[in-house]
Amino acid sequence: MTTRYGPLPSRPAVAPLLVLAAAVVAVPWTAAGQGAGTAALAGATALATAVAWSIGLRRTAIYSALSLTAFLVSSAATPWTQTLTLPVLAVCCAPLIAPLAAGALGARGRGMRGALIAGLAAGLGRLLLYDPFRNPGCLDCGPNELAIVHVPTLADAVVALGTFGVVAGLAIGSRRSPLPWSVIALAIAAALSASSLTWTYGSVVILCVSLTTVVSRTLMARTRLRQCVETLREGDVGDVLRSRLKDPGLTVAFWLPDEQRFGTSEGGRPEPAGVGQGTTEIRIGDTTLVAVHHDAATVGIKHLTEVLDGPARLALANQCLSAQLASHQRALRESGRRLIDQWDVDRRRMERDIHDSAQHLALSLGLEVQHEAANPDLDPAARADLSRCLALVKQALSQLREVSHGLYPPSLESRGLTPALTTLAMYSDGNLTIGKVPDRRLPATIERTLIALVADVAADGSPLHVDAELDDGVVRITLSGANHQPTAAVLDRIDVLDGTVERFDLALTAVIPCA
Amino acid sequence: MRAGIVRVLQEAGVSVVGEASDLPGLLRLVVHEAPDVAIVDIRMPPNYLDEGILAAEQIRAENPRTGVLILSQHVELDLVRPLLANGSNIGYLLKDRVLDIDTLVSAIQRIHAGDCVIDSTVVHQLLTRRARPGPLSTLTEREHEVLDLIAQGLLNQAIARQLFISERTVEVHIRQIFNKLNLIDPTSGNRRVLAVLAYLEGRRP
Repeated sequence: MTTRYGPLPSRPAVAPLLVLAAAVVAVPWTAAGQGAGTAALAGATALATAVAWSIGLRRTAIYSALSLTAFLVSSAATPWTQTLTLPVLAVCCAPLIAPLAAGALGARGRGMRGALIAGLAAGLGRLLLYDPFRNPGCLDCGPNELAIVHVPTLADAVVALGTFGVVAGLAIGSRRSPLPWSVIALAIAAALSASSLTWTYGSVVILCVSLTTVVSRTLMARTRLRQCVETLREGDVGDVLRSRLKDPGLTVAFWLPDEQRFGTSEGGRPEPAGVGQGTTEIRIGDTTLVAVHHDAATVGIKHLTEVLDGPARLALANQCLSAQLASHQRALRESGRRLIDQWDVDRRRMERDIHDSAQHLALSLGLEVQHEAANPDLDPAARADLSRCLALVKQALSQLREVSHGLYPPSLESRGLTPALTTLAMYSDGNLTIGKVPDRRLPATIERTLIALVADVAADGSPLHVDAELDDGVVRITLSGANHQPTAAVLDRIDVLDGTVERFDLALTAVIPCA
Repeated sequence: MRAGIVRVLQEAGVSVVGEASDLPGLLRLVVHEAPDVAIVDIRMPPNYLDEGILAAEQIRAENPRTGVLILSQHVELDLVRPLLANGSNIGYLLKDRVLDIDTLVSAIQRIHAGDCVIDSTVVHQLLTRRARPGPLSTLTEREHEVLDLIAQGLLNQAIARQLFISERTVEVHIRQIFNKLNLIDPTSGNRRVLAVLAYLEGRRP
């Protein structure tokens, strides 16, 4: 279910006035036929119908108007109208009344359908089992040509049973705290059953109560929405809506125009609407700002756009901008991580290339030179030259070893942080010592970042001691004796991983989440 | 490079019974030929990570009489430490040693004899690190020399021959060294090598 609302619709004042005018004419007519009590009920129902129309409950008002019309016609004080309209009223009343009552109770699905069926059954049962002409107490009543038999007790029992069925179905189908409304409905049903009132009178009671309930709930919901809108200026729209509308499963997604999609307040992908949820888009003019996934039975949210005032709209637009910014930041971080990973992959490849080709070539060259130098027929001068070549090859090998280790510690990938740090310490000319380090493997990007940090800080040769611990998914590394700050490249790496670096005197601590 | 090493060894009188280019080939060769010593590169196909370590572990498990000499381009002592801790007739040399035929052959012979061999470059790197003030500075020059040879895996008799002193003198020096460094003097050759290395790396064994 997706509902969009644009600008406020015009509300002609003519329709409610017509209903009121009809009520003014019909009420005395009803009073003549049915008495003052019924007339008062009819008048109250007409007023409530007018109010419902004026506040935008069109469907509700139409149902109410049709039901009231049927009742007023059937209440006319002429026998032929009673005979003609009684079957219509009996059969049609429930389908007209029940949706209205369902709206009052927020009933859906099987409960609603059960109420309709029970109402129809009650009406039909009375139609077939009761002939008012044969009722001695019913004066000026015309005959019911459709009655099969005249069994007033059975007819009343069928009506009572049907009434119970209606209210029970509505209560069961209600999603919103059915208990108080069920109590009210059951009380009405009990009153109807205990008296000798006809189905028509009971129907108008239900009509009046239901309509009043729907109108009251709508007005209350709009009041809550207005309060909600005032709070929107200061708080997160999702928190405010969840709290005010009492819908803990409500989620909010903001429109990100640069990415042409909806996103959460952190810029991530929102979850789709769940089972039993509906979606309402809040638009300002032609611009969609927010999509709200909410409980389908949440009353009033459809009218949120109508009650948004200027400051609230600005607040919403501001939160949309924040979500957009968060999305950009997230994209930047992900891009940064990809760059770091690619940088590490390139360095690893360079280290391997040096190991697999340059170093092996140098070794092979050294072996050849050594072989030639061992030739007993060689001239002493040439032998001396070859020995010098061999010494140069050994020097080259040593330097290649240092360069390739500086590019990427080979043991990091296969064995992890501890061996890599130990080897780094061995290459450090004595200034680096390693304390406690987690045994568990960390994510590869984080291990490489920690090595880069230690290598960078230890590069100046000052004595440095390293301790690292992993706690609750966060790695904390402390470099004691750090004389200088890490370079910008290392700090950027840590920042991309959502880590922080703090310094206290000569101790540098980096904290990086491992998620 | 493998062909060059084979030639160098053959010229030095070492009998080379086979060559392998990857881990499965190496393991098959060891089972088939039962060599006295297997020379293994620490990085081998397919991943070039630590296949040599895996090969060494498997060889020692299935062919304990075959010694293993691990060659590495880098100083990766931490990778071979578990192997050194668990047995004898094992060694670790930097690949540069293949250009020093005497050292290479000596290492092969010592491993075949049951010794533990660690590249002297690795040991020197540990010993000559810019030292913190500490017990190492209390050692005499002779004690430094003895410590160096212990870390390389030489037993007392070999140390005595190297330094032209008696074995009893070597024992005295070792006791002094271990007392000054506050190390336990274990009887197992490999364990005392490991204790010294751990100390030199800055960690307690």
